[in-house]
Amino acid sequence: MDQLQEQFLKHVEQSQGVIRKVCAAYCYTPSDREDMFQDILVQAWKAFPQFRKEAAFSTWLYKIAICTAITANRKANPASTMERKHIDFSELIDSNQEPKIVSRDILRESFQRLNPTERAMLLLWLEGYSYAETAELLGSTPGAVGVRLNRIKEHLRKFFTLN
Amino acid sequence: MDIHQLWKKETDGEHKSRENIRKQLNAGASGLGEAKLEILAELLFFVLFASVFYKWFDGYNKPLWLSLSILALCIWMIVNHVLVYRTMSSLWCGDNVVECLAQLREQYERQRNVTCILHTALYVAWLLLASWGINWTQDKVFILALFFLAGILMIPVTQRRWNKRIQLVVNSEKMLTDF
Repeated sequence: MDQLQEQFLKHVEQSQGVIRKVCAAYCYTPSDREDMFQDILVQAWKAFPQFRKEAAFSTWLYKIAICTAITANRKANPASTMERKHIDFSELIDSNQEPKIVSRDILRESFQRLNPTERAMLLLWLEGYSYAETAELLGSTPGAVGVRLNRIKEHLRKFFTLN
Repeated sequence: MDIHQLWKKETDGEHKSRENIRKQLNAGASGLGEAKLEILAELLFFVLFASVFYKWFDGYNKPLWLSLSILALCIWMIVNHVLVYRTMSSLWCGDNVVECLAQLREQYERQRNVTCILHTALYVAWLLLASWGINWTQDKVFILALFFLAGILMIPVTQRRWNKRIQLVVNSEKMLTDF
């Protein structure tokens, strides 16, 4: 058991960025992110005996982390709407195909406006996952992921332009 | 700044040491406060019941087997809540997120059915046993009526809470598979 936990901790120490990224995509405040980090850690440890070594640990961890985040059922943080009023959206400039933003607050805000599965897709796209890889991880098809991601990007462009 | 660069900046955080991660892991899941609260409330309810059982429900008039049965029912209800808590805190993972969600949904549905049926059966049994051999007075009728109402209300509330959890999973599943 101790040996298994050591093995798990070693993997997590190396791939902790995965958990941090999922927390950033699903939580607005640092304390919420810390709580979610802990929840994901616990779920990953419980599921670790099911981890098959043929897959990369980081990909496996993404699957566990996204699933935990989607089903976390956390209440929307009121800080999200309160702080929104103080964001200067005039910083935003976008005229290219890819959405361009200049503020971390706006990036956070844009994640908060997406539903949980859209956040997962955007997160994986930002991490450089191909449509096929995203589809395999989420259990969808590359075509469907492509369609949804284009919609998300369009949504973001509109959001950035409006604000 | 490009969205990719900004994302990198946003997610570049302090590197946690292995010892730190171990501490967090040993502290357990934080997002199960609601389930913990449910178990605690039920425990409190049964402690309260046990403290008034002898006087209000004529505990001295009941045979020992009956009192033990009531105690066993209370323990059974609490054990069921602990099982629910364990179910909620463990994720049975499939090959991808959709499979994980499907398994979780099935688990939740099973747990909802078991909880609701068990809750109703145990509650009816508990009420029958509690009112067995009682010397009825107006106060006792009133107290039992209150317990009855509280129990009746608890069943749809429990069901609704489970349905909410299940709906969240169903919605996520739909969003991933329907286009």
